Amino acid sequence: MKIVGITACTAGIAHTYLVKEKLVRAAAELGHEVHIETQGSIGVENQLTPEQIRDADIVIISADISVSGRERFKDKKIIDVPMKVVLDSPKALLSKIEAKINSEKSPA
Amino acid sequence: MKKFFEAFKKHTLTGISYMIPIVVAGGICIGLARIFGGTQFTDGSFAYIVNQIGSAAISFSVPVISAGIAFSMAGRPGIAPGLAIGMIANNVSSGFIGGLVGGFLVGFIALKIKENIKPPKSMAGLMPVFIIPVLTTLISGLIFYYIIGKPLALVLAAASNWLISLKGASSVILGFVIGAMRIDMTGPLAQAAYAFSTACISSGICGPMAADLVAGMTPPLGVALAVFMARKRFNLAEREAAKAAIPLGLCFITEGVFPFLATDPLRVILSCTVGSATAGAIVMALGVEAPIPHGGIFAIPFMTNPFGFIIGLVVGTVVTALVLVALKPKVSGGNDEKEKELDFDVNF
Repeated sequence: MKIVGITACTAGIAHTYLVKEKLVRAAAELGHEVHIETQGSIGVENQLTPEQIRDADIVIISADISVSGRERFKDKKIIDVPMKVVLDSPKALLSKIEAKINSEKSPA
Repeated sequence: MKKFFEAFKKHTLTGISYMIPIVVAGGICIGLARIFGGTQFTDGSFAYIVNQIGSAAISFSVPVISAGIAFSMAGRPGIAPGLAIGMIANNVSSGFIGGLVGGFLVGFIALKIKENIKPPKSMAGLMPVFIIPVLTTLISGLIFYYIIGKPLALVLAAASNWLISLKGASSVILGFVIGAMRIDMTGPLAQAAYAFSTACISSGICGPMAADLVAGMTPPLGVALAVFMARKRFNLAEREAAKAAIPLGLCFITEGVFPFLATDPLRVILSCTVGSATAGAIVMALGVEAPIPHGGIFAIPFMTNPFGFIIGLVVGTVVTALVLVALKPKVSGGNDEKEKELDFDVNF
């Protein structure tokens, strides 16, 4: 599964990067490709490229605040996940997402 | 209903997110001015100038939160009218509460205008530069001046007076509650306590923020202390995490406690909540006031009664550590980072 995502929290200095790290680590352990853009107080870092977005199977947005640049994903599958959910159970979340994507691919 | 709440939370937190740097910048400058020049500045002195700088910055706190909320709701077209309504909210003395309501009002109106007014293609550029700003600012401003401004000012005055009047046992309870709201470790309760404390600052009430600051620092510091007190009860990963937890805690980054939550959630949450609540109560009892919403240890010199804060911080840290060590089994239970059960509907 190819994943792109955005993280953003209120103070913009801690959760933003912690949630990204959790997603990256969980994805690596499960064998998925992942690119996460952070929108912290310092600004946008690791901005997603159009190619990464084009190739992605799913867009994960995990943020306490509004994220900018949602128009980039207008034709993609997007899921908004509370930051707490990612922090508590990142691998279970990714597996559940993968299951749903696969069940949509194969006509059940 | 839940969706409305989620949206309300998201817009409010976005507003606060933009507001934090300006309140910190302004508050620290004002604090520095106090350190250099006491409370009365001689016109034109260095302290006076620094105070001017800080006051200029901090006068933006309400406009910025209004603009942030409006931006979150309506995108860029919300920013300009949002700033204006925040200034209006200040002018009618409705402060933070006015700014909050004003931000949502502006966001709502700007969205409705975007949806319902469709100029011909050749005039499309007029929308964000003329139509939306003029109509939104005028309509929301009129609503504020003629309808909701005064009532909001009354609400703010009532809330501020109530908070200021809290003395003795009541303020201790408030500090205790603010600290105890850390129980969900930067989740919605802790965020609500933080938003409340930040709001109080813009009305000049800085006690709750002191409680919130100390309550956010004691978890990582307390857990780190627990690790140093009883190394054998923690595994290797936790001992490593303890080293990072100290600078994080000192900077008010409560997230330093997260690695410990992953391996032993119940004990860590219990000990941290007890420590935070204790620290919050102590700090309010001692009348500590923190005029800026972040900074951790760097904010201490700018507080009223900084030693009171340090006392609360130390006691809260020690309490957290003692409770955690007491709860922990004698030898470490292992290395697994357990995931919690996933309770989330995947929909896309």
